Amino acid sequence: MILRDDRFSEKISPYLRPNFPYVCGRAAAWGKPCHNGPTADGSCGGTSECHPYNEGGRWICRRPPSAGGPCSEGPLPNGSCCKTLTACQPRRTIRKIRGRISVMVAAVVIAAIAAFGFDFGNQEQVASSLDAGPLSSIHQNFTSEQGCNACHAAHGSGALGWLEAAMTDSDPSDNCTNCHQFKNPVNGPHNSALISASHPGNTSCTMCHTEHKGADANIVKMDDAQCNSCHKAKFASFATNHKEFSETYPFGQRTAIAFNHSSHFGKHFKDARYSKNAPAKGCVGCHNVALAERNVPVRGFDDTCAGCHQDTVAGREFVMFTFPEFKENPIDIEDIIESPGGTLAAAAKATQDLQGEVEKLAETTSSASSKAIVEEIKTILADLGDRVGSEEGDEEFEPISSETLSPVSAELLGVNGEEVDEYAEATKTLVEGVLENGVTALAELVGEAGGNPDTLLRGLSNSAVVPAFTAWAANKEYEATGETIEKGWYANELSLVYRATAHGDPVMKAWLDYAAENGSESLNEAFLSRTDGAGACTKCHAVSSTETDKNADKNKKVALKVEWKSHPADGSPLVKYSHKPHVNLLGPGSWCTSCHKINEKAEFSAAFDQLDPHKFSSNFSSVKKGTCVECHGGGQVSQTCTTCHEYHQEPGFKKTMMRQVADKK
Amino acid sequence: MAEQQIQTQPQSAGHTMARPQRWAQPFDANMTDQDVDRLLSESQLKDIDGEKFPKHIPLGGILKNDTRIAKFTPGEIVVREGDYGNSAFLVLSGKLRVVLSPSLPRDAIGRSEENTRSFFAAISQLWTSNWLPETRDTSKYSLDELMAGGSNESTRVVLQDIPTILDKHNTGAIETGALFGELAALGRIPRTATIFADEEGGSNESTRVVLQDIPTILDKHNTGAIETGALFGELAALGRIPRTATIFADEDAELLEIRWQGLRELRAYNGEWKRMIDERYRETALSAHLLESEEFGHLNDDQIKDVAGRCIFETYGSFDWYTSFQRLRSQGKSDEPVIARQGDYPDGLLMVRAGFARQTVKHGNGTKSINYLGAGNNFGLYPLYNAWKNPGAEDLALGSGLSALGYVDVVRVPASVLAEYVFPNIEQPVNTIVAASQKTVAEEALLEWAVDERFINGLQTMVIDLNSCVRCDDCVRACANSHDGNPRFRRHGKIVDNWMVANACMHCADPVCMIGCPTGAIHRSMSGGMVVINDDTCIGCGTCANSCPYENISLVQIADKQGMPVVDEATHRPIMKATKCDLCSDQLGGPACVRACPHDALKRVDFREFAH
Amino acid sequence: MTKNISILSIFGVIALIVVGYNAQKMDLNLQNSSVLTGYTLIAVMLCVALLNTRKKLSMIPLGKASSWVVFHVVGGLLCVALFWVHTNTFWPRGLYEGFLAGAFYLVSLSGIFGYLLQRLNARKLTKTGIEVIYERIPLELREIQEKAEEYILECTETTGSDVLANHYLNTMVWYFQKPRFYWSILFGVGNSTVWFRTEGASVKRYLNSEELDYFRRLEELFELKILVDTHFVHQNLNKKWLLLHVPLSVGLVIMALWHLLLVEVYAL
Repeated sequence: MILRDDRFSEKISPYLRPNFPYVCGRAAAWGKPCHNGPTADGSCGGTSECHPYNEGGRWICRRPPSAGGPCSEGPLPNGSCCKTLTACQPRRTIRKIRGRISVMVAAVVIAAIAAFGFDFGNQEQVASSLDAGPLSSIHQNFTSEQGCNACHAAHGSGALGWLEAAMTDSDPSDNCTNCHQFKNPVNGPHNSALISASHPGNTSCTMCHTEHKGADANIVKMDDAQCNSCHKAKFASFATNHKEFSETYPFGQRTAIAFNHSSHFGKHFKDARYSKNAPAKGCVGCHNVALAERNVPVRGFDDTCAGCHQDTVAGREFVMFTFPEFKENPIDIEDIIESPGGTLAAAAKATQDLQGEVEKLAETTSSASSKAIVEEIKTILADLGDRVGSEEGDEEFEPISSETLSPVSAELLGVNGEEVDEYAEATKTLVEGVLENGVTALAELVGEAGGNPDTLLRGLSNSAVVPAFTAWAANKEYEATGETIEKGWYANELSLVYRATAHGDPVMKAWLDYAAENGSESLNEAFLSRTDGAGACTKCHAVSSTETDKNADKNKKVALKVEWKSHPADGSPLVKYSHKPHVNLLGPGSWCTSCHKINEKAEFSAAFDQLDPHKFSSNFSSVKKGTCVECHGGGQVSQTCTTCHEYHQEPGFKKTMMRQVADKK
Repeated sequence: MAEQQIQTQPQSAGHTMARPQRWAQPFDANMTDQDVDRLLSESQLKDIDGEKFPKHIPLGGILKNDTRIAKFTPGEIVVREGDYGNSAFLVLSGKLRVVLSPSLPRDAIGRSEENTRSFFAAISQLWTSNWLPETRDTSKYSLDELMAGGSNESTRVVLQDIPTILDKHNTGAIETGALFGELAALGRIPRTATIFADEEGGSNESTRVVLQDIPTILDKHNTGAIETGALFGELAALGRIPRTATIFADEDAELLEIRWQGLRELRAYNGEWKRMIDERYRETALSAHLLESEEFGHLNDDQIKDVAGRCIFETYGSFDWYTSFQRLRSQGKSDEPVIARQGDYPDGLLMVRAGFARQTVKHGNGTKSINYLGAGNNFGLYPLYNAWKNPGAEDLALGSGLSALGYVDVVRVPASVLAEYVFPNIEQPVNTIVAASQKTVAEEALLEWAVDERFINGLQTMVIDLNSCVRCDDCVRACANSHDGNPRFRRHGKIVDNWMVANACMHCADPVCMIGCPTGAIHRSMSGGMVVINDDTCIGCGTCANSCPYENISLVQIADKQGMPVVDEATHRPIMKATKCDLCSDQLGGPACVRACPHDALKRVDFREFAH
Repeated sequence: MTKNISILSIFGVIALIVVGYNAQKMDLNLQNSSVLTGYTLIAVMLCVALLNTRKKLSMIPLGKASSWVVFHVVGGLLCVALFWVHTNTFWPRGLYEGFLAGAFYLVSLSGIFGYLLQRLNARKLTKTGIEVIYERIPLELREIQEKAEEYILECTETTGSDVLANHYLNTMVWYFQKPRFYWSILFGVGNSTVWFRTEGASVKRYLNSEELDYFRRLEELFELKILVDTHFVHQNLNKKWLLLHVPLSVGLVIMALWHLLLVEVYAL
């Protein structure tokens, strides 16, 4: 048509209908399209070029001008067109094809989703349209049993389940706690009841931890921005925004062992006498940096203090019982004879009888020689009588002891050890008890007083106790049999004593703990005196009041505890710090001194004269923020919140989960 | 060829109907022979010599089929300002009143809007429009359907409370003398035009519509009333222009409404009517035009009368220029009657009253258009003024020529009149030639082309910017979707650089397609003025398609709802219908093609502005 | 139109900033910002996808299609940006998400490609100086060929020599049968003219002036066919890129909806 001048004429250029779904098949094959065109249903529009009409009995060609007008040949006699064509197969238009493809694609997609979407759970399955991405390597194994249900409740719950899940909140966080556990409140900020109280509202795991980010994805990532979202003090960096540490940082309380660094390093280690025992490498001599973590453990006594203090510690002793003074002889001799140690008494009686016989003999004899023998015998018997203490029937009683009752015994007997009238009766029964049953009596006594005989009286035997008590009962001083006293229990003239075997002697500790826990003020004064005897332990081991027992009424004195072990400086549970990488920061040998500087002026020991562990002054100057900033201020050293802070408290795993793991094995 | 046409079936299968003839759809099916006889006894008609009419168009037939007797009660609107009437009225009895100024409010005159589809009706096309091409509900072609459905227009509105209207609005006032004010006011009629412009989406028509159709002006010394025996509306009918004033019945009136086909025949075959119509046409047009012009608008009535008397009224080109246009174009000749030749000495001012004229200057071996004169433009004022200002000066000849494009009405105002009434009051006019000839040939190329192609006739020409058109055919699809699955234009056409004027109806200022339509099926819509075809009354004769100089009307074979071709029951020839763009007049939201263009490539433009 | 795009893109950028800002704020408040970004993304995607629906509803006033296209373009680009904001990655880990992302990128790229293609093709087609309606190209080619053959016959009759005729049958007819040199035309390489110079014109030396006259007419037809072929190539591409874009976007929307469902069921 482009070749024709009249190409725009309506006669030869009829309306084009691009809204039609089909085009002539001939045209599609680059042949000559016929003017009929395809029908709407996609069949060929006609196999003849025109349908002649009949006018006055003549057939007349009706080929439209657009197809070239009436043909020269004209219609056949039977009124049909002379130009017939073979029917073509119309083709769809590009638009129509596009529509069909679209429908197909839609179908394929839906089919694929369905095919891969509704057989799930098993790990073998290669592909699932539910696959939201691989789990982090940590979690991969935990879905093997329940599959997705391990976290997603709605999984596989059918159409209704899905509908419900879609409507309601289906945050998988709840299922995290099937395995993970934290300090309560689990869903409170920092698992801290305190913070939760002031900041209500729950946190959920998915706020920070999201899964399906790949096996190597870091799902515990937490950056300052997230902290800032809750914390009023916004952090650009540690150096600029973090507040100064507390006055005493990092020390929250006094140390358990009253080891005065300043005096030791200042004086004693310099002292020529001890310098050979002084720790060669300084701090690490006592602090085990090999195990350094948040706190650096102190080596045991034997590796450290023993060097100088071994002797002073071993051989410490304490008096459990002292035979006190009496106004009259508390005990009848007969009873004594009955007593296990009666032999001596018996001997004394026999001597008296002999003396009587010798008197009679002296009256009857006259010979000078026999008189001389009799005198001889008299003197022997008198001597013997003196020895075994045979006393004359009713002569004046003289107590051998002028001591008071030892504080421990007084405490055990629950009497005032100073007043004779008060303790006489109790002591008498005790003594008689011991004469009858030996140690058992003491054990009962301790038991009644709330102590544990097994630990408190460990190693105490009758052989040590009974002779001494017999002697005292006979109002005589006990004379130990010749052998030298070693460690442990022993009796001397008037008292029953325990001598520490070595540092950390269990009986000693037991008595101190006993005293600390149930001892009366007086006992404690006497017992935890820090000066001599057992108390001397507390010279180094701090005695602190324990605020632990809540149900203590006011007038009852606060319970005490002797701090046997050194404890880490207590700090916020949300702070984390590892000494290990920080040791020797200022080069080899500098050890801890980069941060911890001894503070000469601190009144260290003074803090140990009282009981509150939080009233103290460390003999190290507190560590200031500046110290950290020296390194953690520059660009290259990390100073994010999480460098020093934890989010969670007491993270852990539940047994259920451990069992799960075990079952897999 | 890749276009889809209906599969034509064996005749037996085809749906048959009687081939529609002229007068198959009478103007008023209720006209009886008694009515005709009565009309023939009317004073206006009894003198007509029926013998002069050809056998196939007898006078009686015209009266029976192309006229109807309409009765109007007081206050009832007869014609509305701005409507596109296709009929003239003869007052058989009673008295009408013409509202001169100010115009009645639109709601008062119940301006008949195009009844566009409801939203649902629009969207329903989604499933109702089918892939079967050009299907029709053939039942609607039956006569009684027509009478019930009413192919014929104008809901009647009664003006409430005439007294107030009479004093509020100047109603072609009563006494003599006061009429001058009316005329002055009428001079400002472009207000009428702006109503038109509104409907046409703001295309500036002010120079197009010329006040012509106020019969009251015929008898200046009467009131604004129209008495028995008066004929009015004929110019709107023949001139294909909107009504310029509202006329309503002052008392019970009986009118003979003559649709323009009939009027045309009467004019053609009866000298009396021809003289009457032409005479009135001249006077009406002339006076009205003078009043409208800025040169004479200030004159009082007597002066106007004087001027009108001395002016010469000329027409160039033929009323149906399109035929010669096509013929001559095919021969490569131009058919542009010369109105004024460059170099001649002007004897008067030429005022273009209707149609188009090309102002040219000699350029090389050809002539170059420097301006394009439409109704309301003048020619030759500058040299005439010079001649008057300094007589005897050199070079008082016309610097440019003027030639008619198609059918042009020109008023020639003698220099003497100008010297008397105009020149003393005006400044030295600017020499348009100088300004215009500054432009390079290239700059004027588009205009030159548009004028050659007569596209300047178009008010809603479809122009496609080929630089942004991706040839997606969305416009055609949209068109089809809005027209029961049938496109109403063809996305091809003449191209000048990157502009393509597609073969879609331009809704011309001078819709020559309407000339010769035997049934008036093709007409200006009552408001908006777009040219539409009434499918019910179209007989598929193809006259309009042949008349259209732009090949924008297509004849199609129609099929019934099942897609069976509808054929003539007698000859089994297919029944054809003329189809064309109707500017989506019954659609929501205007032309679908423009809205559907994804790249803003397709526009509907008034080519006169577009070309400049 | 380009102006409109730039204007609307400003709004697009603003929208993106608003969403991005809020998303970040949510992250800081330990809320899940991907809910916000995700829903925005799918909303915009669906709106953008409506363009095709609007074309079917051209009979009701839904605003200018060109405005829709502008929105389609800007909205599409916005989607790409939102997609990255939403996923925080170029390629997600999950297998299904992988497919989803793949579909998304394909749709986006094909869209961008298609848009640029159309803008360029429009001018290329205009340059040809002729207009051919796509559906009519077969007819046009056919008529050109017929015309050529008409000349050949005429030539043989008038000159009585069949040199040109044979040459036509042996060589030329191949060219006139259907569109040729598709790729050469597509990439603006003048292979066709080269072909004519070498193959086509090889016969010239055997022709007398009379035949040469016919040959010249053939040459004109040849030139004309190049233009028609050009129209075929570019209009064809203008339509065919949508074969990729539209069906893919349908699939994409479905996949996205499934993804949304999963998220709602499993995580929200």
